Amino acid sequence: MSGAEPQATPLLSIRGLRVDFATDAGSVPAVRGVDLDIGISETVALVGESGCGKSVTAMSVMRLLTGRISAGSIRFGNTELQSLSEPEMRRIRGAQIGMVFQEPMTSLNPVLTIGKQIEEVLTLHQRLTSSAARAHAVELLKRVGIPSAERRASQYPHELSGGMKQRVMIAMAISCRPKLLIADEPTTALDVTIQAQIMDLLGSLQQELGMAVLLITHDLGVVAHFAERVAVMYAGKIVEQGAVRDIFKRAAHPYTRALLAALPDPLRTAARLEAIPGRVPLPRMLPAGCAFCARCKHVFEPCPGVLPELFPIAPGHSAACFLHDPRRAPSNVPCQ
Amino acid sequence: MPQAASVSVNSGPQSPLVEVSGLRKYFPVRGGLFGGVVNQVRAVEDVSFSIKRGETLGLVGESGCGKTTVGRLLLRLIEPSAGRVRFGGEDLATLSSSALRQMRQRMQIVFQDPYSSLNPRRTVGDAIGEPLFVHGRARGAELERRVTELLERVGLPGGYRSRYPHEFSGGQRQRVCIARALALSPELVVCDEAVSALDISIQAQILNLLRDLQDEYGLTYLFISHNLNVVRHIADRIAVMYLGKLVEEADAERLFESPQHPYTRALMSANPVPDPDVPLRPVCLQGELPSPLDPPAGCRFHTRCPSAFQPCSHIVPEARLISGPHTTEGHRVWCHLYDDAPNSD
Repeated sequence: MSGAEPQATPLLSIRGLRVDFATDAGSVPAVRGVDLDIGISETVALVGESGCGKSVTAMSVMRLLTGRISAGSIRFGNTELQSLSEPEMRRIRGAQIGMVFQEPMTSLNPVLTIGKQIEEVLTLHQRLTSSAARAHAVELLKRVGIPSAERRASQYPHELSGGMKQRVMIAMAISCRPKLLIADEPTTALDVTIQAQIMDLLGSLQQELGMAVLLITHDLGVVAHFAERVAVMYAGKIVEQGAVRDIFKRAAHPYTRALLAALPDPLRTAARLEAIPGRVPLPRMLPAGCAFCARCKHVFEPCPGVLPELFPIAPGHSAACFLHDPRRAPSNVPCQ
Repeated sequence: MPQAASVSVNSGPQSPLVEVSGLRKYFPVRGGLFGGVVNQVRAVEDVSFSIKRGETLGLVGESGCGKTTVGRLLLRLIEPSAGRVRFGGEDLATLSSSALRQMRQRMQIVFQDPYSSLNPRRTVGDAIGEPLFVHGRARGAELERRVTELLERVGLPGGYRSRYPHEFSGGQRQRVCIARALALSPELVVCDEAVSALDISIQAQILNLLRDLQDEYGLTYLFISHNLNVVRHIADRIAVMYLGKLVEEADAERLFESPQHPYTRALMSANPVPDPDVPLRPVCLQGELPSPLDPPAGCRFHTRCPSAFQPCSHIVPEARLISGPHTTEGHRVWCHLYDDAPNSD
């Protein structure tokens, strides 16, 4: 599929999601009104720097949050996930929505063999007999490229390398053929040669199973090669979204452009990098308007006081910046 | 003073500040009934290189390849099992403990994690001032003035000296660690994954700061990182390690344009460039990284090398010089594919 535009009936549809965390100093907003659609078998990357709310958004979909969803809706197919009871949610989690985390070292149970851990998912969701589950687990390990899978199935997590553990995590996540896979920094803890193998595996599994992938990462190199659509988050909000080439070639939001310019790029070496001055504002000290305005080169009069909505740039491409608001933008838009 | 003499002899701009030859580090593995040494982790084996004054050498490789161990051996934070480190012409191993203490003022290190490398119960002013105090460089009001100056030099307000590490963000803490490393006006700074824990926008700020400080003070860097794009940006020359050994060393530009060793090629091919129009065609390496407890004989990479042939499994490759454009400093490769090229040593 072309991937440029969200599909008419998305697989996952997040609307107006707000998440707050209770702290000693009061309630702190982590996600401040996120709208995101993921189509059937589409790959969407959610990118941003630490603390921008990308993982919290993903955890909200899985309902694995310690914070509180204070507003918004999360629809998966025709089901509103928020209204499900915990037992109903458990039938979706793992079976229809799979998840792979950053740390394969801590996500596996150290006292169970990896075969047992995969069998557990299968017996829980598919009611297979134990011998059928065993056979299926070995099958899955073969599918994710683990050599001598029969022997590996009876090994414990500590006997496997980081890349192998991540393969096991992927085998567990796809064991029930989910419609959506949430991959939260799946290769951040891995070396580049292993990263390439894991991303390659995820890509081929996606084709084979027709599943959608929500990829959460801070690594723009991985995004450029793996995602169809990209949503860029900053301080709890999506500031820009579009097809991968919209983001990398025609970035419209000053933050997205600054982020790309700050990356060391082996193909265009300069003596200095264009660093973004300052730092991300603390969640308790956000301005009423655009959260990026204190660091933005193009700030003008509406920015600090008014919250920008996502303004359309092109079909499927939008940016939350007043430079793209036809009613407000200065006539000489400095960004194109 | 012996150091003063050797400094003057070796202070020419072209003379290497650091010369490492035949460096080896084995870590003992204890076990068994009596806790004896049952095995050895061969972390670093026969590593030789040099760094000129004012130059940045990037050291890259994947986790467990021994790059951090090389950084620590360079500062003699750990003792080598064999081989030699010369700093400003002096052999670090032969220095007495008081001479080593003097020497340490000339070499500093910045670590990856700015959260765990600052004492949470002491102000950042104390952290930055401590090396000055310990080495008797400054006291009282003078110490305070120097600390303020250092904070301002790394881009933080001088008034922050009475604050505690938890009041700072990750990027600001890394600035504090850099200020502390600069306090004694060192000649060499080892940056061990110094920007790896930072977000992109902050990483760019710190890389620019390191570059500015180098221009201003003529610093020499050993920049250890797993991030190829960062190393390409900051380093003049790059050395690639695999399983405890150097496999290739060249000018940064040359290494990226024309990597020669099959491992370097695999590494480069798997490195995603942040541009969807540059195709990513990773050379997939076979199998797993062997254990450094029992590294393969011959070339350590031969078990996974797509170009391995007859000699690779039993003969250790020697350094060969490759000629070509941008090879002002020599392009060294440790691979049997280049056995016809001249020996570099």
